[in-house]
Amino acid sequence: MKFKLVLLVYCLLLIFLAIFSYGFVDANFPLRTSPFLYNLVHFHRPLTTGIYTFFIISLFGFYFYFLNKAHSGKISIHQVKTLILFTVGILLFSFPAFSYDIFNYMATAKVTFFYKENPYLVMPIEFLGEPMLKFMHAANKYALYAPFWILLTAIPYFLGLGRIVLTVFTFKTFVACFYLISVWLIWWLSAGNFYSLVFFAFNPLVLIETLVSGHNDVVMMAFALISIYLLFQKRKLLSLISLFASTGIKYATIVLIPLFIFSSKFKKDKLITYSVWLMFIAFLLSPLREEIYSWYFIWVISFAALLPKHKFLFWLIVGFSFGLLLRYTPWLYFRNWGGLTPKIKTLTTFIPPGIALFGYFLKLDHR
Amino acid sequence: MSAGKFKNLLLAAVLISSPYVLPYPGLMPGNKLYPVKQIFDKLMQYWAFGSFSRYKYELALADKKLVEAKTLFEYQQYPLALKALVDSNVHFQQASKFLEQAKREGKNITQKEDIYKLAAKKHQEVLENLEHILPASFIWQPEKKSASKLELKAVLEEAIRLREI
Repeated sequence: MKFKLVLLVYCLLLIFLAIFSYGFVDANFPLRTSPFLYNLVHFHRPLTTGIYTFFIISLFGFYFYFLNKAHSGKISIHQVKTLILFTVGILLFSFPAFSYDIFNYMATAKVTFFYKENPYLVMPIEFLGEPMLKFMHAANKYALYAPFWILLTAIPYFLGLGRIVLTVFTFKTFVACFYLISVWLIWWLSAGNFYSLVFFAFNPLVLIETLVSGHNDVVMMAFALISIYLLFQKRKLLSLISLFASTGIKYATIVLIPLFIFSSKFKKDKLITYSVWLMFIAFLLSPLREEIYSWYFIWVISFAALLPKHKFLFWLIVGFSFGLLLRYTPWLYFRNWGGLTPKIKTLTTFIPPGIALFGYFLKLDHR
Repeated sequence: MSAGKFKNLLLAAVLISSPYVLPYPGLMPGNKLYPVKQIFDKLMQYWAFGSFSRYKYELALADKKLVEAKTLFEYQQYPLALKALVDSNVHFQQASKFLEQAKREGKNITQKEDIYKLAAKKHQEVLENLEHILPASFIWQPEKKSASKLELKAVLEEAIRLREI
């Protein structure tokens, strides 16, 4: 009975989040949104920021609740499966509100498979009259992702039947499939550890960036997890091929290649621990290329889920997940990427993990 | 010449000259790495699939070869310069072919066509300048081979004609 009530409230929260996301539909996007939502998001910015923060805090509330249940063994696999199914089922229908990357994926796929051009040499903006140019951002960029990702996007692109709105959802479904694959792999690699499963599957950053925004980082990490799975199955060559496939999506997992080549020198736990820290370093170094984006943290969470007893890591992940999701708040409030926004973004990124780790060390001192 | 007249001439020069910017020539024939560059350029041809990609590739090579030819002409390396100019001609014509292909594929080529026209104008400027400083013909005497007459003016005129749009 209690679970049904929790499920109901959780689903309602997700439904409201999905509805809220439609306020961010671009005025030129070929989908009409409710004027109420549009006005709310565009003309009541403090309220919008407040609502967004409320969603984040609520999602973290549920996250801690589910983690606590998993820790105390008071949640069954059936219940976790139900929660995952509802989460995917609801958020799949949300609009990619907080990032335009999914439109870049679509545009790159269109440049490749419709216009039959090399997306590394021709930008979407070069196709005058292309309907996507009306609403997409960064149309003046060559393909940002590695070739294997572009090849994979043929699947959602062709399933989209050339219709923009449908293609958004085929891309989201495609990414959601890899979220489910990652969830299953974490379950398998952690030898059926509920805590690991919940740690990844219900992390609000993973949910927002994967199931709402449809970022491809989870696809890259799914292949990295497959690589670990194959490594533990003693199929080293296949494992390396999978790691190369992962690198062929977004390059970031390239840092793992030396570790996997010399994997025989490490025990399983050490291998995962080093993978977490290597991905964390890659995450911290991301400003060298552009800036720290919240979805990059999925690189760390995917592996960290396999180290459920590592308390320091837990607080680091929670702190960063919360802080990184707050990076959107100055933009929601100011609707401007300049001015105070970059400074506030830096503060929101590093203060929450700082507080979380301070709390962790304070607790250690008291013991 | 009065300051006002000079200003007017300068303004006219700016207005007449094409705003199209030609690239830096990079490695030149004679450099040990030049064959590597040529192999790289050849391989890039396969990377540049698609009519727009190939148009950009051909135009970029036409530009590079033209600058290469100009530099070689200035250093009186006439046979090498002529070869570079002929290559530039070929790539320039190829660029046009791929632009036509893009049009047949239904792509809007307006912007690319404008760039192509600007490139043609810039190429013509360079070639006309060369025409003024180079002799009409030149007897090239290699060390161990018989001499040959190089018709520089004729080749330059042909290159200018090819770029008339």
